[in-house]
Amino acid sequence: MENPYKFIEAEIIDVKDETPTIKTFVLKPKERISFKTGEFMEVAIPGFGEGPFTPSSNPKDDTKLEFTIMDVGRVTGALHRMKTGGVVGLRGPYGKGYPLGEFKGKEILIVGGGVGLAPIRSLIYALFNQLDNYKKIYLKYGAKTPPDIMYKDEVDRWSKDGRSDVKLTVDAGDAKWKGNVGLVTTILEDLKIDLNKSVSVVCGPPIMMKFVTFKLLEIGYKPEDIYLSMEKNMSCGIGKCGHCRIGNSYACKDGPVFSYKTIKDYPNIWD
Amino acid sequence: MAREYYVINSENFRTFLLNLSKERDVYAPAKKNDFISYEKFDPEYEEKYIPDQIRASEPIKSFLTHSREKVDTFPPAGRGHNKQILVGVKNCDITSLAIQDFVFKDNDPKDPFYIKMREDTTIISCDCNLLRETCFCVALDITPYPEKGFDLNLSKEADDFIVEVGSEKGRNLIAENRDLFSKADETQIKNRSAKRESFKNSLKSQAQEKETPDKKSITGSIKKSYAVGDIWNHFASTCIECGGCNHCCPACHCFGLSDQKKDNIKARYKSWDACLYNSYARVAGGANPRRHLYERLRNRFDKKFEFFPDVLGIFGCTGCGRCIEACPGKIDIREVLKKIVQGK
Ligand SMILES: Cc1cc2nc3c(=O)[nH]c(=O)nc-3n(C[C@H](O)[C@H](O)[C@H](O)COP(=O)(O)OP(=O)(O)OC[C@H]3O[C@@H](n4cnc5c(N)ncnc54)[C@H](O)[C@@H]3O)c2cc1C
Ligand code: SF4
Ligand code: SF4
Ligand code: FES
Repeated sequence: MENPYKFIEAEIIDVKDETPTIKTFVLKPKERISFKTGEFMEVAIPGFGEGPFTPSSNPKDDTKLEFTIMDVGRVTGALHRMKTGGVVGLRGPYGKGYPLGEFKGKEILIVGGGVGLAPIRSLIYALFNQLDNYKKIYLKYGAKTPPDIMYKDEVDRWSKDGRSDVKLTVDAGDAKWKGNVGLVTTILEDLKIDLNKSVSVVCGPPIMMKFVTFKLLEIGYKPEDIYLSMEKNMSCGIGKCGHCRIGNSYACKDGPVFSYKTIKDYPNIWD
Repeated sequence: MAREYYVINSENFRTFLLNLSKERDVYAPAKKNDFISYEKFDPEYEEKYIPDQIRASEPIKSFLTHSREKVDTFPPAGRGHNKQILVGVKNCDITSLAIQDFVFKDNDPKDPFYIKMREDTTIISCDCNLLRETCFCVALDITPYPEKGFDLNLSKEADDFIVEVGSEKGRNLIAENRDLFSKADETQIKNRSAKRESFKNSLKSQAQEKETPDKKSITGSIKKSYAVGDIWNHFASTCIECGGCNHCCPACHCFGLSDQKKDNIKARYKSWDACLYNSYARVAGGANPRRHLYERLRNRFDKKFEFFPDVLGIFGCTGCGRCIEACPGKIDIREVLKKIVQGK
């Protein structure tokens, strides 16, 4: 019998600084691991601790995996202190990723906040892999300040690519910033999207997800067309430990991506 | 399949346990002050074991998962375990196995540690016959005697036990000790039914006296309680967040994985967790979706009376009453349910 609590070792082959608090780790697992965009994995520092993270790399490449991780505490802090050549453990991939089948032929509005751009980068790669399937990609991304904007080169590239429409905002600008200042909801005004042929994807801190969801509903998105990445405390990742429960489902098995419709009637989903 | 019944007298029963204990670890309930708890069968003290009466203090899950176990490798390195026989298991514990099995055995990916323990465990259950103030199985439509889920079941009849066969495993145990058993007759089985009925009725009267709500009225009541003002805050006011209710509960299954390092040896542990703990649902940077104690107390009820009925069709509570006895805050699950059902 397979031991679901055991991890596969992976070597850190590169570490990139994204922002003062966010780094991307490029990992080469000892066994090949493939994932679908939006699925997550448990990343462990052997003998120290483990946490759930979503690969931010292109799902087409199964020779390496990238994770973009914000330093917020114990495990993430220790990960940030690790260097090329270090070894971590990986379990997964787990959960259900983005339902790309449902996105076919539609315009896709992606709304991200902070480190929430990590899973979104993998999604954008996946969409670009087969762009003929989708009409257009709109990315609306909000960061705290201009230095907190992640993946600057890629965001630049996506902005110049005619197949995507990118708009950024920061909560507080600086002398050099010429773009929008305000919460991400402020760049959701005057969308030129046919709502009947569109889905929206939201990933960011819980409070941002709440306000963006309400905004999208106000704009006219149907609850079944709003996809949310729910951040919950997760330990096992496989529907056993109980930690990640949202109403009558587990975020690790039935999510972490949920349509708003499937969870909206459960109590206190935003807390 | 026709049910198979035997009879064994008390002296032969002790020989039976002795025989069983030669090849397996046999655990049987023994009296300790006001409580009954499991002890490894030791023939020197054979008279202290009480298979009947009521459930033991330990939930049956403590024989199938460890409160803390190393899970780096399967099969576990170094520490093997013997096949075990649990004697005197009561129906509230047997019923709880549906939950543990659902989580660890029936749903993919499976937990090989649990499955191995489960396979290596034989259950010799027993009808209850002692009324305890905290028992409320019948309110939840659970009988104080098992009808399935055991290998052998015992029903005390004067100085004898009527033994019902529940599985091939159980049948084999009888075959190995055939001379200790005789066939049960019609009258004995009729007597058993009468005893069961009368004991069930005494539990029913107790539940009525205490106005413990029944299964039907509990169904759906937790969901409604979210809208009722201070109700959960009121109950949580004496909770000290000890997690005792979670740990003694035969249906609670939550755990956490942790990684540790000692003398440069790295190890991964799986340990029981408790949803009453503040750390249970905490996420990045200290944010917590259930930062208030009342939310965590409510969560426990939500999991038992909303989640499990929805995903499995049964309550995550079997009425064993252990949490009532364990709670230092004197929170009585029946009182909570009563107030919730009444909506005040
Ligand atoms: C599905 C999913 C995908 C995620 N993807 C990313 C990502 O791509 N990039 C990123 O930066 N972050 C991601 N996160 C958040 C990340 O898991 C947490 O930031 C991280 O676990 C925090 O660990 P810490 O020990 O550094 O935090 P601390 O604040 O020190 O943790 C405090 C306590 O909470 C526990 N804890 C905190 N968050 C979690 C959690 N989510 N699950 C279990 N225990 C937790 C810790 O073990 C500790 O006990 C994701 C979360 C989920 C649920
Ligand atoms: S709750 Fe019911 S089954 Fe459990 S010990 Fe009490 S009487 Fe027996
Ligand atoms: S046993 Fe009582 S005091 Fe302890 S956590 Fe449970 S409800 Fe709170
Ligand atoms: S993380 Fe363990 S049940 Fe979801």
